[in-house]
Amino acid sequence: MTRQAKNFELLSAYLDDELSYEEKVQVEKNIKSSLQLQKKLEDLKKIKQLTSSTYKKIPESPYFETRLFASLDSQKSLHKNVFKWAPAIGLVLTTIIIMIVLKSNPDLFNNLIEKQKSNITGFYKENLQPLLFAADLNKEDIFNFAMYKQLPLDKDDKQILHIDYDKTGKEFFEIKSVESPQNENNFEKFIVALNLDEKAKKQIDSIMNQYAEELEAQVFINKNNTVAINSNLWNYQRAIQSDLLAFAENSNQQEFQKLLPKTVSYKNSRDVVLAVNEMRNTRNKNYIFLTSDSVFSEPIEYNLDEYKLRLAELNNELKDQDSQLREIKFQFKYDSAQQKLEDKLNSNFKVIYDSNRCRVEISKFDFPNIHFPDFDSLFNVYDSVANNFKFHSQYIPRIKHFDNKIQFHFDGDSLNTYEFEYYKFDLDSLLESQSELIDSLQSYNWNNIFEFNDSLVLKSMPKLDSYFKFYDGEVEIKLEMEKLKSELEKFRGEMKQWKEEFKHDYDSKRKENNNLK
Amino acid sequence: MNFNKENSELPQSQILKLDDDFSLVKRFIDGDESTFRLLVQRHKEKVRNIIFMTLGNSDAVDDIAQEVFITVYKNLKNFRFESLFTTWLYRITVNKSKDHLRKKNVRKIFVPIKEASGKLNNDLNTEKNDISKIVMAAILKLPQKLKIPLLLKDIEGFSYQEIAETMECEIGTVKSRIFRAREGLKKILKPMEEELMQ
Repeated sequence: MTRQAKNFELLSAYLDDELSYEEKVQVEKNIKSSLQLQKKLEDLKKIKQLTSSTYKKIPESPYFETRLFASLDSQKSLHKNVFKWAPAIGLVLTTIIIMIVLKSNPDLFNNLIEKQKSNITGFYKENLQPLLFAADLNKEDIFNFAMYKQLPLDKDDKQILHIDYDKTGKEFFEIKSVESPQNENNFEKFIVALNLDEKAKKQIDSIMNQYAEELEAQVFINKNNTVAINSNLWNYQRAIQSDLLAFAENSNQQEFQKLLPKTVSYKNSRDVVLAVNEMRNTRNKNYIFLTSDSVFSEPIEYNLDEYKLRLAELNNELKDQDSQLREIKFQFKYDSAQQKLEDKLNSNFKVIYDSNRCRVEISKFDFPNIHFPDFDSLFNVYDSVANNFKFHSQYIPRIKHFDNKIQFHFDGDSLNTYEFEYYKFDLDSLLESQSELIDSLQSYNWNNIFEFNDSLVLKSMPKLDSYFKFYDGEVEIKLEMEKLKSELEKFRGEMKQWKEEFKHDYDSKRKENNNLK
Repeated sequence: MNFNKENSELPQSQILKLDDDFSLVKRFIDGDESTFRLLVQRHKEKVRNIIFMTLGNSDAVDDIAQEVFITVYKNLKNFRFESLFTTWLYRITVNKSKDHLRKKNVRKIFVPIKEASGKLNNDLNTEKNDISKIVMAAILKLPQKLKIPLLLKDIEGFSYQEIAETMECEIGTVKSRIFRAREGLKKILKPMEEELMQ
């Protein structure tokens, strides 16, 4: 800004009386000494006068206040209305926001659910152990799995896993508690029924051990009450069953035929071996997880060789964890509402449960498809063998002699031991009276009865109770009676001989005494 | 007491003015909304006049004045007593007027050029014989930032300090703008100098 312009600006302020005292004195001094400033001051005065003269008061507006307050009132009521409808407006806005968010990111909820799901599955997949380590599967367990589709989940056999097919052929599995585990020695009986020689016994042991090893990785359990079942387990059951029967037929066809139903003929096929090999080569990592609150399917990555290497280490660990693993209990906490929700959300699995079992029906699942030849048509064969071998297992009793009694015991059925105490009875009369009873029992059509219970035995054998000690356990009456009869016949001969010997001794001693006299 | 003595030395009107506006605002903040009507009655004419001067016509004065008082009503509870109530009120008034003119200028862009220029010429022709109208027309041709300080000073009689607070600028700026406004006005009115200076 030039000095002149600055002076003119001060003149303008001077005219408005907006200068400080010092500025005012200085400006007045400058005006006196400058004609130019005097002229400029005059010009500015005229302009200011003109500007001021334009002032014209605006006419009053009589309704200004009325309009203003009416407007304010309407805004107030609008304000109130906005508050009144605030919840609804909020809801609408929230809905719109959610719609926009979902529109722009349709997988938002799915991603959240998936994330949550992976967190949960991670929790359930922690420290999964192969079943063998927890339950110590033995040959008997594998045999029962093949024949009756049941696997023990703990060492005490108090919980079992049962896999099967429902009427429509769909797979299901259930975990159930068993109050008193039955030690039936079915595998032993099967061997006895087939009358296998030592070589064949070793072979079948080897087969069972191999399957035991393979089954290790088909079922996993952990401390979080999780059971993970490989979807190939159903195939394993078929494979072991088929393999056992094929082996049985090859080993002793004559005895094997006795186990089959009369109307069905079974011919072993090499296709069984092919199917078993195919199943073994199917590396299936899909597992069905059953936890105390959910059922889902997830793959498990495992390295069985690694597990084997760690076996020693794991065994030590398991000694510590043993008690914990034994405590696995499936206390299902589903309520009906959750059940309905689960059914809707997870239509692949349907969970049915009661106080001591939990059943999972699998409606949609991609099971490994292995074709077992004639499996469906041979259903009767498998069923028949599973029931019949028990009645064809012949035991030769072991007899122990004591001074006052004899005791005989059937191998493979350790629960039954029988004792005869000499002084208690007259053998001749006993044999006469009981032989009739035994015959009558023998004439009973036992083939119609597949399972016996103690009450039936007691009812049928009231008199024997007074002479024989029966120990608890399952008694297969027919076989026992046959064996008993033959033993008694044999014993009768021995006793006659003994009696004659005794009489002879008695007579000779009497003669000696008389001679002495 | 010293305090009372000092107060008694101030012009009586100024004490009443301070006391009145502040006390009315205070009562409003405390919940007595009836005081707002008193504030409107007291300041409505001044507000309307500032708008009228700024716009140069009375068409939208009442509408803008309504907007000013509604804004004041909505924000009065947040008034912090750091400046005079009137300074705050006039600042809102000037800003609302400027907003109106800005919107009007935007709307003008969409008016056909011939129509717009013809209208201006007609306005000028009808105002030729009325000095105050000629001067007013000249003032309206000034830019906003020069016109408003000039009118607040020469018509409303505001001090530079009040104008600075209303316009939210420095006193030096106000001084400069008023001078430049006068210089600009002189140039516009130059062709009619003889007639006007009589």
